[in-house]
Amino acid sequence: MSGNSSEVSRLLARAPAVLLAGGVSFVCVADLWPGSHVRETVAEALQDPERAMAGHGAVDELFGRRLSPGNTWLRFEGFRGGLDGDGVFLTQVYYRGNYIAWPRRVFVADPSVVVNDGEPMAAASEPPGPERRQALGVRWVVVIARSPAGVPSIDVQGPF
Amino acid sequence: MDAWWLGVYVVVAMGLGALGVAFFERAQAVPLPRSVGLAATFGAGVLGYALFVLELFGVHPDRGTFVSLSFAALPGLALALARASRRVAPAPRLAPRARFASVVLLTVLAGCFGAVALKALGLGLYEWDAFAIWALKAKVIAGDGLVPRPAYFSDVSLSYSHLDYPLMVPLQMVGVFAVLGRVDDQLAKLPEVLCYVGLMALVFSFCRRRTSLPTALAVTVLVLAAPCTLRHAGSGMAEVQLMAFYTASVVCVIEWREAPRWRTSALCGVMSAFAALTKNEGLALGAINCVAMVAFPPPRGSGRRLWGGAGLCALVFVVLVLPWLVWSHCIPRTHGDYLGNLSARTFVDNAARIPVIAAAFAGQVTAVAEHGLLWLVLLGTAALRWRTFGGATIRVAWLLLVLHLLSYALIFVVTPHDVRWHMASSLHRLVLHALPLAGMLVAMHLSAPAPEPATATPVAPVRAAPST
Repeated sequence: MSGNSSEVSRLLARAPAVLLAGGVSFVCVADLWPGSHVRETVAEALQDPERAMAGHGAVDELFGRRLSPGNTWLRFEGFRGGLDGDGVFLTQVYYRGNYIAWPRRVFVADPSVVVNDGEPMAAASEPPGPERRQALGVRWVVVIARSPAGVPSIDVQGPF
Repeated sequence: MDAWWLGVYVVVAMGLGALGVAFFERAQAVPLPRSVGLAATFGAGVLGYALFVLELFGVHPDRGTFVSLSFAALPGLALALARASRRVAPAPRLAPRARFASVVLLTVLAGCFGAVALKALGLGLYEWDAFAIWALKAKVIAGDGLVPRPAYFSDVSLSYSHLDYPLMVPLQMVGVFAVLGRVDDQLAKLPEVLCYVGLMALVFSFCRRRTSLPTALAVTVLVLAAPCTLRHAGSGMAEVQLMAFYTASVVCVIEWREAPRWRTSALCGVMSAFAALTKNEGLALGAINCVAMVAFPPPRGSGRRLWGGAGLCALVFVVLVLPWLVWSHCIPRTHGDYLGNLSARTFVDNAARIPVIAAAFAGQVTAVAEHGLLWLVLLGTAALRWRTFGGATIRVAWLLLVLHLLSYALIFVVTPHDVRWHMASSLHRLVLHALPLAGMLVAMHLSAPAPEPATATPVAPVRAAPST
């Protein structure tokens, strides 16, 4: 009886070490597992840093190099702004575009409109007229459209 | 040339941090990991704060600013090195098995550091929050400064970038731009690497004070190598900075209970303020720290010292955060104003969300793909060492953890967004902030006497001298 009790005590005393060893082994395997985020990003950093940025490449090229100098008016046609629609795509183009272009600006609506998601972008406000364009410093208008058949197109107008 | 100037940035941050260590840890033997942890964390924070103050006075940082700051920082580094060299003592010999385990665990930590440094400095900004919120603000400040307030901060068509978010991380990036002489969104993540190192050293030194070397290293691995930690570290987001500042502040709260000293309480206020200036969540966490210091005074010490220390923490916290609150109070809150949304009516209206939120938080315990097994290890250790709940300090640490998670749960109760979408997109990241405290709790449970003084194991509770 006392032998059993001391055996239990011995196992209980070792249990935290087993827990820790299990936890450490698990994170090591999880981090090194094929497809894990850290493994993928480290591989990209070592072999092909451009690939990690591939999702942003087209936006960076458009707003970083092509549409310069001056501000840009961005209009989306044929998209749904909700998260169940095209919200992710619209916000990626607008958020990334503004970051890359800064201190130049990318507008999707009048600057007084609150933009927190894709809804105001999908509302596809009309590009401003010449006077308003001048006031906002807009030299480019980009229309990204999707036809009812789902075919995307991009039309760059400018510089004005 | 970039490497040289990035080196200047690191030297200035670490030097300012070393000055902080010399001040806050005066007359104490400070083990090297703790010095490194505090210097990196405090240095990164004080540098960001110094740039904030300079910007408020219209001084735009450049290389000259950093050269000037290095005159203050270099003596700090020299002092730290002199102190470290005085205290070099032979480490106690480890058993072969413990030595092997320690080498393996150290290798894992080195690998984690390498991965984070590679991600940070080898890749551009790919995470949405990193470029849409933090780096965009850094570009704004690098171009326009803070005074007069740039038009960006009232431009609601950029509301998605959270105009009212605190500026610690952007200002740290601005510092990198200043030493480089250009905007570089890849190298801008250097301060995050510094904070990752600081966090690693802080967690390790806290655990090492209480447990054996292999145990301290194992707990550090559980926190710093968790998939969620490695996903966000080095990505340009603010999570690592918040974790580092918050961890330092919690270490102070715990040490204040163990040995109440004025300097510990002041450091707690400073670190809590840095956390509040990193992300809005830090405001709530800082307030919780201050309340914990007042509500749960240490068992030893005169009443005057205890109340004075808690008051000092709160005072330092408020004084450091106040300039930001004043400067930012005019910024439109057009994106998820949780504080403004916080009312009894909203709480009652959204009460039906509480079971959903509770289930989601409980689900994080078994979200092993995000947090590894840390939460399970914590619950297992707490159950196995349940007698350790007899200690008041460990109960206070648990209370900090519970209040931390409750404050986050409250965000989801009042959020104007769809709660399921909101939790799916951010819950794992919020729970990540509590990971270091969870790890420290594991060490606290292991440090107290075991239920039976049975046979020794590699993780047997050892109050070893922190000599490594």
